[in-house]
Amino acid sequence: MENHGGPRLTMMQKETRLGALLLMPAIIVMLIVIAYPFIYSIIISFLRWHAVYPDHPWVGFTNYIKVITDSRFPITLRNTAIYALVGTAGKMIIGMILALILNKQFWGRGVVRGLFILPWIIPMVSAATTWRWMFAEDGVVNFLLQRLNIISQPIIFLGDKQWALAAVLVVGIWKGYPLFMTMILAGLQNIPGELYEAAEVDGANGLQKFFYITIPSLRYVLITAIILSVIWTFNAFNVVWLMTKGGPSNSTHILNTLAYEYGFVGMRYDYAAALAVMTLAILAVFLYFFAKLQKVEE
Amino acid sequence: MRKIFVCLLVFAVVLSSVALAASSIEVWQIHSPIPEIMNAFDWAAQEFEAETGIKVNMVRIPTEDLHTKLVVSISAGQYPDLLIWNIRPGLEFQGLGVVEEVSSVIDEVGRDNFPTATLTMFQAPLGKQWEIPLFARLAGYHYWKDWLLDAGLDPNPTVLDDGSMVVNAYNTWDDVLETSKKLTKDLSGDGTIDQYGAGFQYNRKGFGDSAAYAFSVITTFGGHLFDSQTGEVVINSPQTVAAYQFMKDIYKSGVMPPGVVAWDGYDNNKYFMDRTVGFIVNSNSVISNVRENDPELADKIGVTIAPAHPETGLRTYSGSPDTMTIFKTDNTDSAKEFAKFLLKANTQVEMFKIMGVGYYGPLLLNVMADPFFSEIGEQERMFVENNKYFVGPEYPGVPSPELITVALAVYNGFVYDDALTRISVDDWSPEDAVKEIEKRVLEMLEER
Repeated sequence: MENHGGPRLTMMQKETRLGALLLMPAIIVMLIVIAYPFIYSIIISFLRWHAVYPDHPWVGFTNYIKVITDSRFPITLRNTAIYALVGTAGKMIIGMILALILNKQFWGRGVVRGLFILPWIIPMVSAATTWRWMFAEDGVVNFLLQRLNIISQPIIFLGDKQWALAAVLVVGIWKGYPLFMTMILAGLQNIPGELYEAAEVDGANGLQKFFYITIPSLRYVLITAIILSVIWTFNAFNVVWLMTKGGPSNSTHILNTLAYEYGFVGMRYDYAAALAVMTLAILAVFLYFFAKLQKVEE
Repeated sequence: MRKIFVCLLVFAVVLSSVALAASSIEVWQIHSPIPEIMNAFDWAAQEFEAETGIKVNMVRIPTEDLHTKLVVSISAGQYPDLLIWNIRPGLEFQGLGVVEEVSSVIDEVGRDNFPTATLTMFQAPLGKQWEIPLFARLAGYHYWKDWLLDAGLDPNPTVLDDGSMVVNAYNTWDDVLETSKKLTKDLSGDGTIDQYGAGFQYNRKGFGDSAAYAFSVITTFGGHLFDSQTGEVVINSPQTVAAYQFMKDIYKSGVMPPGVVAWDGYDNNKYFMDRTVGFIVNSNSVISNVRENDPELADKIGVTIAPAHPETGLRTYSGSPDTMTIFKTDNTDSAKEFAKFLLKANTQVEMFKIMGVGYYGPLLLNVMADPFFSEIGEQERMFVENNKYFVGPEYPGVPSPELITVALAVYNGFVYDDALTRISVDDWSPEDAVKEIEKRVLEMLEER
């Protein structure tokens, strides 16, 4: 029998080839929209790249040194850590409480669930504008605090260095808790009811059931949600930029807003790229240790 | 046969795309809060298309996004054919070779028809023209006439020796402070102030407004960024320190709402329109907004010119006319034609009939001479009056084009705005705030 071109492929090999072929468009798109900009950013971070100058000479690690020695960098790093950790904790606690409420059967549960998810649906620009009004000196937050006799003079939340980051965090948590709530609720609905019934027979109270059944059962859901939240919080930009533009006096800058300021206010793409690469490195280190911790637990 | 068909098809596609390229241009401008302005440009675009067959796609972009979009689009090599704006993008980006030099357009329209200063402020070096002035962007200091009357002050403008008009209660910056003190009141008697004399943004969120306020005060007090002869950085001067001292004093005096440290670009309008503050600087969007809802209230708004230095009498107002920047694209010639069409006297007069005078004012001398402008109201007249005191970020001039770019970067890079935060939120001394400005300017120069 005549061989018409190379060895015959097995069924498995044929399927593998077909699979690879079908995946190719997605891979090409990923390469264009993710790999190319990523590699390009790394290259820019080693060049001198100002938006209004045509020459881009190689400068080694100068951009990295410049960013690290910028007086705003330590504040920004601290703010990012607070924003990521406190923000994630806040989202998780609120998401957990609301998920526990929604896991009970009550009249109008569907409507309440829809209302709790609203922050997720509202566009960020609208949300930020509304929160800015709410935090204004004559806004609803000051009005309520004054009516409740908690404060006598309005607080300038977004103009006060002691309050601005907290105000931005509140908005970040408000915008992000529905994700936790939805994931935890899905997790809760997968916990077998028999576990709680058995615990009740053994005389466990509500708290004991929560800490010994609910939390361990939700462990993987929570880990996934925490990882996603930290990644997204590290990549957060719009909440801070729309609310404070990193001010007052750089007190609310996070890594991405500072990178944006370097790139699109100062027109220094090189510094912005260097900071973006550093952000990625920090995130990679965090994820590495988190994954390791998770493995140890398993 | 099939080959011939394919060749014909390709030829037709190429031909039609070339024709399409030649028959349409993309024009960017800010999304105006006044719909009549956009209507006027749309009218001009339609008239131009009817006359030339060239379609004009007007793309409106929010002010706060336009610079970012422009920087990104230029970096990506996908920029508009024509840009109408007032922050000197032509000068900023000419170094990249993407901006068309437009002396020929100016010459065709008639160089004598432009006030000389409006041409030279867009030249770098002198003689090379990067932008074409289109309209004066009118702005003025707004106040409530009835508040002044209640305080026993004259709300009407008086004519000065040089023929210019000013409201005495706001003639100098000292007058602004004193008048504002008189207007700041606890109307409800509950121990909290509910009527403030003035309101200026003291932070970087007041896009444009806070920098304009700070730079106006700095230059009125005699401070400036560069020495006009040597190009040396001279911002750290007793004059600039005195300017920031004044801005700190007026903030600390309590005549402004404490929230000015967090106000954004719209808040000064909002607090003025709801009659919480009595003196703001803005374009004419405020009056038209109020007039739409309450014409009687709009008549209570007075407009005056930039306050002067209490001793030297110097007045400046930080601003710039709207210009047309033409980019080097396949449609540069069509863009030039549209620019020339917009500069025609009858086009401009018709556009003013649609959009009114106030936000924009006439800039070309033959347009100013049109009888239409002799009939404008007092508020609009004062806007045109304030136009005389416009200065740019490089005021009073720089010896090299490079420094114009730096001056623009300083102005647009929140440097003056951040110093306002330093003297208010951080309670820094004016000396320290000015030192920080100097440090940032020197860093910007070094980086270049």
